[in-house]
Amino acid sequence: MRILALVTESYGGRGGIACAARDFLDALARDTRVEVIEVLPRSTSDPVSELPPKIRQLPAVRSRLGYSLKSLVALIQSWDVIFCNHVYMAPLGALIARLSGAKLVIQVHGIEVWGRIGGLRRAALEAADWIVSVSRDTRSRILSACDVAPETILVIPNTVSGAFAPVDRNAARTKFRLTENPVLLAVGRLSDQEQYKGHDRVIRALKSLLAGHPNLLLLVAGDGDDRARLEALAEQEGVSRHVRFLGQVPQQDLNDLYNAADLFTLPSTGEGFGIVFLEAMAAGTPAVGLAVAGAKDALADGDLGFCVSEDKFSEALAPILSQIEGTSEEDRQGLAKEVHRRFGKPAFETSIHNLLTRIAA
Amino acid sequence: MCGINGIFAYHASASPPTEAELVATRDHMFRRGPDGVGAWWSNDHRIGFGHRRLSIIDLSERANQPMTDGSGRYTIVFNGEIYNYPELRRDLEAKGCVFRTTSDTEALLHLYALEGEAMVGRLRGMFAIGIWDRDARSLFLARDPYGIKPLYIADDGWTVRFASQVKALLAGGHVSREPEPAGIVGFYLWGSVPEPFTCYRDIRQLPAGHTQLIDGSGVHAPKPYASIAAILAQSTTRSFSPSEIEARIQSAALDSVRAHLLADVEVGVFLSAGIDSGALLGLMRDAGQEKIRAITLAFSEFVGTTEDETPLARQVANLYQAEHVVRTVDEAEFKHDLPEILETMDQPSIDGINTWFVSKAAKEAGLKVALSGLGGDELLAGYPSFRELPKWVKYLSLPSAIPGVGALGRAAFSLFKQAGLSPKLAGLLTYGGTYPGAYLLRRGLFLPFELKTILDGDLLSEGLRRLNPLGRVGESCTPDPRSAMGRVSALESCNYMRNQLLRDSDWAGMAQSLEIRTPLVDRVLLEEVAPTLRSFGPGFGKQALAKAASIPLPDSITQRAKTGFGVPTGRWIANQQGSNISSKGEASRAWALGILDLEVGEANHAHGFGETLASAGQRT
Repeated sequence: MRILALVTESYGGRGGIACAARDFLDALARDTRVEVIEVLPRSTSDPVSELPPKIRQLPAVRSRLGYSLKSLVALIQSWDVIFCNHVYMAPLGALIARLSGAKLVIQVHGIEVWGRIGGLRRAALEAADWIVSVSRDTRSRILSACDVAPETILVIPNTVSGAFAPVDRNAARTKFRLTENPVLLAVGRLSDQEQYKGHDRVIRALKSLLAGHPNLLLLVAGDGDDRARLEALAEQEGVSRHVRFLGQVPQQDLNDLYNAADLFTLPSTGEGFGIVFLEAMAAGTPAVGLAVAGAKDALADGDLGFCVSEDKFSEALAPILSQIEGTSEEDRQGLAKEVHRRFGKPAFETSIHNLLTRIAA
Repeated sequence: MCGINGIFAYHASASPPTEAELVATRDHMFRRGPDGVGAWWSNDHRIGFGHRRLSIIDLSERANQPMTDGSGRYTIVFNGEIYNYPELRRDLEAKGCVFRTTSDTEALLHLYALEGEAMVGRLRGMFAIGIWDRDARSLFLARDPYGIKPLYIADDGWTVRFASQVKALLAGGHVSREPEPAGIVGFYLWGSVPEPFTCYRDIRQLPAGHTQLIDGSGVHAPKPYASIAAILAQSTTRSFSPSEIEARIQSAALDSVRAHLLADVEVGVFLSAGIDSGALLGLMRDAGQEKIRAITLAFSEFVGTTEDETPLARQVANLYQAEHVVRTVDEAEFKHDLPEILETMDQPSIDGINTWFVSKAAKEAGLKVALSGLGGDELLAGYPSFRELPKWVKYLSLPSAIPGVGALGRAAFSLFKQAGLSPKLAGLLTYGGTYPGAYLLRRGLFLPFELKTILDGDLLSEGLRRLNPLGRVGESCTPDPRSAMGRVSALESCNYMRNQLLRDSDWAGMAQSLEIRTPLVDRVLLEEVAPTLRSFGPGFGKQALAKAASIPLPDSITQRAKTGFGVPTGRWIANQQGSNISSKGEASRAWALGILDLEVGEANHAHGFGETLASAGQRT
C-alpha cells in the first residue's frame, strides 16, 4: 500500500497535532502491508534527524498555492491512500484522491471541526472513505455536521508513550523542590485563545480548599500570552503563594513532574481528546477533568480519572482530594497499567492495523 | 416474538458495559416478552445480551434466550419466527447437528455455525438476530428481507448497542438524544420515520434485508442480502394466463398461511370485511386448523352505518366456522388508552391506533399470536396507487421535465389555495413525472415545499439533504422491477408498508404482548407471485386471493368498495387536538402536528420522541 500523507506538520513539528501525526505515521509504517509513505508537511519547526523506515518526508511548503502545486506534482506517482492529518488539508486531499483514484482518509481532532463546517471541508469529509476521529465527541460532532455513514468514522484515540510511567515519587518531588502537600498540577498552553483550558477555574477553586489543605500547591506547567493574567488572578484571589508557574517544562522532565503531583487537574471545556490526562494517569497520578467533549474519553467516563460536570467542578475538588489521600503505590501502578492497556502503543497499533484492514477490504 | 438487546464494548479504550444498562434496556421491553427473561455475558464481560421472551415455539425453559450452542462458541438472541424451521432442522440433523430443544432459535445457532452469514438466505420468516462468535470475537446482526422485525443500533465509536426498540436504547441511559434531522423531516413527509433513520442521530435501524458485522475494528457497513425490488426484477418476463395466475396465487397463499401457523400456542386472526383477512381465515381452515378465533374491531360510532364492518365480518366468520370475537371501542376508551399508546409508540407515527385496539382485543381473548392481512394490497396491487402512479407518470413525465413548470404550478396553486384545493395538486407538476416523485405525491403527508411552514429552516434543509427523499425512494425500486405493477409494488412494500404498517404492527402488537404474523408479507410468496405481476392489472390479484380458499369469499366481500381500514380514530385524534377536520388526510396531518404536544403532556415523555423534537426547537 502506497500512502501520500498531506500533513500540517509531523516530523520536525511541535505540539499535539504534530505528535499525533507522527504516532499515526509511525504505526502505519510498521504495518507490513504498507510499502511507502510520502509525507508532505505544511510546516516544520525543528530539523528532522532520522525518519522511520518506509517514510520519506518532503521539505515543508508554507504557501497554500505552493503546497497545492506540490501535492499535484506528487500525482506523478500512483497512490493507494491519501491521508490528511487535519481537516484543513481535506479539500485538497479529496481532490488528489479523486484524481488518483486513491482512498481518502481524514483525521479529525477537536475544535477545528466543532460548529458549522464550511462547504468545501464538509464536502471533503463527506467524500472521505474513512474519517479517523480522536474521540467519540468529535465523531458525534462530525455526524451532526456532515452527512456521513456512521460506520465510516472510526475512533482512534491519541496514544500515550511508554515514557510516562510511575517512578520514585520522593525523588520526583525533590527534583521539583516540593515540600507542599497536596500538589495539584495543570499542564497546558497558557494562551489567551485557549482560556477554555480552565486554569482560571482551578485558581478560583483554591481558596475554598485551603481551609482543609493549608499546605496545598498548584503547579502550572506551560507558557503563553495568558500567563500574566493568570498570575494576576492568583494574586487577586489571594492564593498566589499557593500557585507556582513553571513555564515550559522540557519533555524529558514531564514524567517526573506528573509523578511529583498528587492530582492532575485540567477543567477544560475545549479538549478534542486531552492527551495530558493520559500522560498524568500513565505516570500513576489521579486526574480530574470535565465531562465535556473529548476529555470524557481520556478519563474513560470516570473509570480512569474523575469526570465531573462543569458546574460542579469547584465543589468536587475537596471530596476528590480526600478520596486520593490514601492513594497507594499499588493504586498508582494499577492506574498506569490500565491507562497503557487502553491507550498504550499496542492498542493504538491494533487500531491502525484494523484501519488498514478496512481500507484494504 | 420477543425483545432483544445487546451491548458490545468493541474498542480497547471502552469500559466494560454495565449490568444495570443491559437490564434497563431489556426491561424497558417487558411488554414484548412477559414469559421469560434472560441475560448473558461473555467471560471477559465485553459483550452482553438481554432477552425478554414471548413463548410461542417450544414453551419450555430450555428454549429460553440468550442461547449458547453446545460448543460454547456461538450465543444468540433472536426476535421473530422462522417458519421453515422444521425443514431446516431436518436438514441440519442430517448434517449431524444435535438439537437440545425444539425451538427455531437453536436451528439458527446450528445454521450460523455451518454457513456463517450466508445463513440468512435460508430463512423464511420474520427476524432480528444477534449472534456472538466467541472465537472470531464478532457480533453478527441480521434483519428479515421485508423488515417485519425491527433492529435498532447505536454506535458511539467505542461501544455498540442494539435493541428491538428505540426507546429501550434510550432507557439504558448511555445513548445520545441528539435529534436526527432526516428522521424528523421524514416523519413529517411520510407520517412515519423512514429507515434507517430514527428521530435520534445516534440510533439507526439496520435496513431490511441487511446483515451487519461488528468486530474489534468497529461496526462494518450494513450488507444487503435480499431486496424486494431485486426479487421483482429477477422474475421471468413470460406472460401468464388468468387461470395460471389464480392457481399460482392460490397455492402460494395457502403455502404461506400453512407456514405461518407454525406454533405451540393457538393462532388467531384479525378479521375485517376486506378480502385479505377473509382469505386468510379461509386458508387457515384449508390448512387444517380446527379451532379458529377471529377478532373484529367494531366502533360504536359506526353501528348501523355502511362503515360498520361487523356484519360482513360475521358472515365470513360463519362461512369458515370461526369463533367470532367482536370488540367494540369508543372514544372514551381511546382517551383512556392514549397515554399508554403514546408511551408504547416507539417512534412517532400517524397510524397504528386501530392495531393497538385489535391487538388489545386479541390479548383479552387470551391469544398470543394472530394473523393479519397486512401486505395483500402491496403484493396484489390492491391500492389505488397501482392505478394512479403509472397514469401520472405516463402523462406528466414530459411536462414536468420542462424547467420551471413545477414552480409555475405551485405559484398558480397559491393563488387558488383559499378554494380548499389539496396542496398535492400544487405538487403534481413538480413530482408527478417520475415513479419516486409520484409516490411522494401519493403517500406524502406534507410535501417538501409545505414543510417550510412547519419546521425550522435549518433543520428542514439539513433533514432534506440527508434524507434525499426522492433518491431514497428511487433506491427502493432499484433494480427496476420492469413493470408498472412491479414498481408500485416495490415502492409500497419498501416505504409505506415497511416504515409505517410494519412498524405500527410491531409496537402496537408488542404493547399487548401479541405476535402479529403477516402471511402476505413473505419472501417465498413474493417469489411465487412476482413473475405474474406484469400479467395482471389492479384488482385482479385481490380477486384471485378471494378465491384462494376452497370455499371462496362471497360477493358481498369481493364486490365491496374499498374503504381502507375504516376507523374513526382519525376523528378522535383530531378531537383530541381540537381540530376541525373533514377527511382522513386532514386527520393524519392534525395528528402529526399535534402528537408532539400530546406526548410532551404525558408523564412518560422523558422516554419519548417528543422531548427531542421539542427541545430541538424546530417547531414554529
